[in-house]
Amino acid sequence: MRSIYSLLFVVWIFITACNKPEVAPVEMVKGLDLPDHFPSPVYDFSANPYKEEIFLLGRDLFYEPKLSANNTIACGSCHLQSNAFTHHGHNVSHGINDQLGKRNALPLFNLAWQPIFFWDGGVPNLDLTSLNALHSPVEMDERIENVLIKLAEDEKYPTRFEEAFGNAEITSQRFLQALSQFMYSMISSQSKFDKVQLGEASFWDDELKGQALFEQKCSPCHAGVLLTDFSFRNNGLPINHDFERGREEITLSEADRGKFKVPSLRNIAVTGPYMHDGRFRTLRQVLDFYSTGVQSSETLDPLLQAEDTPGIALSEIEKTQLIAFLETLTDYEFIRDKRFSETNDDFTK
Amino acid sequence: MYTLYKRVSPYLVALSMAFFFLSCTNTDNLEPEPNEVGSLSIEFEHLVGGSPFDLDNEYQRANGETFSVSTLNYYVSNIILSKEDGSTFVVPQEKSYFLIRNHTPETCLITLDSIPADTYTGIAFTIGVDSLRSVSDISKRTGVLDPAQNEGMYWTWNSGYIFFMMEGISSEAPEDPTGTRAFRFHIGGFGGYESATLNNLKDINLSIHHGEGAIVRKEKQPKIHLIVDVLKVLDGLEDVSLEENATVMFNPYSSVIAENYTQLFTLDHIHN
Repeated sequence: MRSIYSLLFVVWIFITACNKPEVAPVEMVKGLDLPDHFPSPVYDFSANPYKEEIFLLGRDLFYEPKLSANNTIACGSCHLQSNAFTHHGHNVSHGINDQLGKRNALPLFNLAWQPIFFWDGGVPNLDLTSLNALHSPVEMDERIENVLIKLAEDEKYPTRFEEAFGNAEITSQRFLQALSQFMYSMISSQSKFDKVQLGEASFWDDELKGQALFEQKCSPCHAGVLLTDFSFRNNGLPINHDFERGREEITLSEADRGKFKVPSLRNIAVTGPYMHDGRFRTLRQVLDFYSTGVQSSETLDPLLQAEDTPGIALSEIEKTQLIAFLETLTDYEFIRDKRFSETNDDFTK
Repeated sequence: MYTLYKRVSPYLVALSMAFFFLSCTNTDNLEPEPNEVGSLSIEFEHLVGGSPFDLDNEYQRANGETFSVSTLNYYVSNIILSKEDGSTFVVPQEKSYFLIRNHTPETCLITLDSIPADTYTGIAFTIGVDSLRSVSDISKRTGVLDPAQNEGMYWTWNSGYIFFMMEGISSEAPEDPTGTRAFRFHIGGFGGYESATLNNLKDINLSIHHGEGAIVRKEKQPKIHLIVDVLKVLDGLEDVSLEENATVMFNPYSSVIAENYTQLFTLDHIHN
C-alpha cells in the first residue's frame, strides 16, 4: 500500500515539474507594457530580453554623439522625440559635416512589430538598423569597431556596460542589443485613436467622418491598429529614377521600381515633412497629391488605378475630415514620455 | 644460459623490431574506436596561374593586361566532409564559419575539431554566409560574423555579408580622379529576405582523385591542401573586362564574378 502512495507522489512531482516551463514566455517581455489591442510583436525578445539597465544604457547610446566619426551626430540628432523620433522640418536629414542623405528620416515607434526596416526594406532585423546610420558616409560616417573603442575609453560606459551585462566588456552584440532595447521599448499606443478603440474616448463629428473616409480610401494599405500593412508600393510620386529607385535598389527587380515601404500613420501630424524624400510639408499637400498628383507608371500600385484618373478622389471637405481623423493618431503621452528623453532628470528607475 | 641469450638476442631484437613496425602499421589502419573524434585542417594556398600569389605583386592576365591585388578576403562556411561510400559528416553550423584573409596567413589554415574518426575523400563548402545567418539577430553573429570583426565584409544599407572581396590595381581599369586605376569586387547577395534577389552563394565540391583520403584519428590530424587560383576570378568561366567592370558590388554583373570564383579551388593533396 505504501508503495502506491510513493508511486503517486513521484507521479505528482513529475506532473508539477512538467507544468513549470509554461510561465516562461511571459517572463521574456517582462518590464515592457505590450498593448492589449496590438497584434503579437515580431521581434524575438528571447534573444535580447528586457532589462532596465540595458534599456538605460541603450538610451545613453541613442543620445551619444561619439557614435559618429567626429563626435557630433547622435541617433537623437535626426530622431527627435517631440516629432515621434523623426527629423522635423527636414525633407532629408543632414548628417555629418552637414551632408544630405536622399531620404527622409523615418519616425521610430512600435519597432518590435516591424518585420522589415527603412524605406526600401534593406534591413530585416531591428538589431542591425543602427549599423546603417553608423556606417553611412552622409550620416555618422563611423565604423562600429571604432565606436566600441571610443566607448571602452570613455569614463562612464565601461561601468554602464557592467551594470547592464555583468561585466565591462563592450562588444557589438551588447552595443546593438542595448540600442535595440531602447528602440523596441518605444511603444506608441495611447493616441485618441487608441482610446476610441478601447472605448475610453469617442470621435467628434469631423473625426468620425474622417475615420469612415480613411477606412474606405486609405486603410487597405495603412491597415489595422499599426496603420500599415508593411508592404512596398509605388504611390505614384514623380521620381527621377537615375537618382532614386526605392525597393528596386534592394531587390534589383524592375517590378519594384519606385516602391517604398507603406509607413505607419501613427503620429503623422507631428512627423512632417512627408514621403520618402520629405517633399510635402503639410498633410493637406499629401492629400492634394493623392487626389490630383498621382502619376501613372508600370509599377503604380493597382489600388491607385481603380478610377479613370489615377489616385484617390477627394473633395476639399473630405480632405479636412481626413486630416481631423489623422490628427487623432498623435500620441502625446509617447512624445512627452520622460523615459525616452535625452534630459530625463525627473525620471527615476 | 648466457651464451644462448647472446646467440638468440639479435633475433630477439629483429623480432621485436618487426613487432614494433607491424604494430605501427596496425595502428594506422586500425578501425576507429566508437565515438572516437579527431581534428582536421584545411589549407588555402593562393596562387596566380602556377605562380605564388603575393599581395601588391603584378601579374599578367591571358589578355596581356596586368593587375595586382591589395585585398583578398572571402567567407568559407557550412563545411561538409564526405567519405568514399558517399556518406557525409556535416560540421556543426556554429563552428563552420571562416573568413579567409590573404594578408593574415593564419586565417588561410583552418582547423575543424570534433570530427568523427574516419577516412574522408571529399570536402564541400559554401563561399559566403547562408541566408538564415544573414538575417539573424545580432546575438548569433559572433566571431567572423561580428560586423565589428570582419574587416568591413558587411553591407549595412542592404543588410548582408560581402562573401568575396577582391580589390586591386589594373592597367585595364579606368583612371579615377586621383590617377589610380583601381578595381573593386565586393560580391554578396544571399537571395533576399522578403523578396527574391541576387543569390551569389556558391557551393564548392571537391574530392580527391588519387592517393588516400584524410585519415582522422584521435592522435592524427590530417591536412587537406587546397589550391586557390586567384587568376580565375578574372579569367574564369567568363573573362571579366576590368575596363567595363572595374567596380562590381550589389549589381547583376556580380553573378559573373561569383560564377568565376566557383572555379578557384582544387583539392591538390592530403597530408596524413
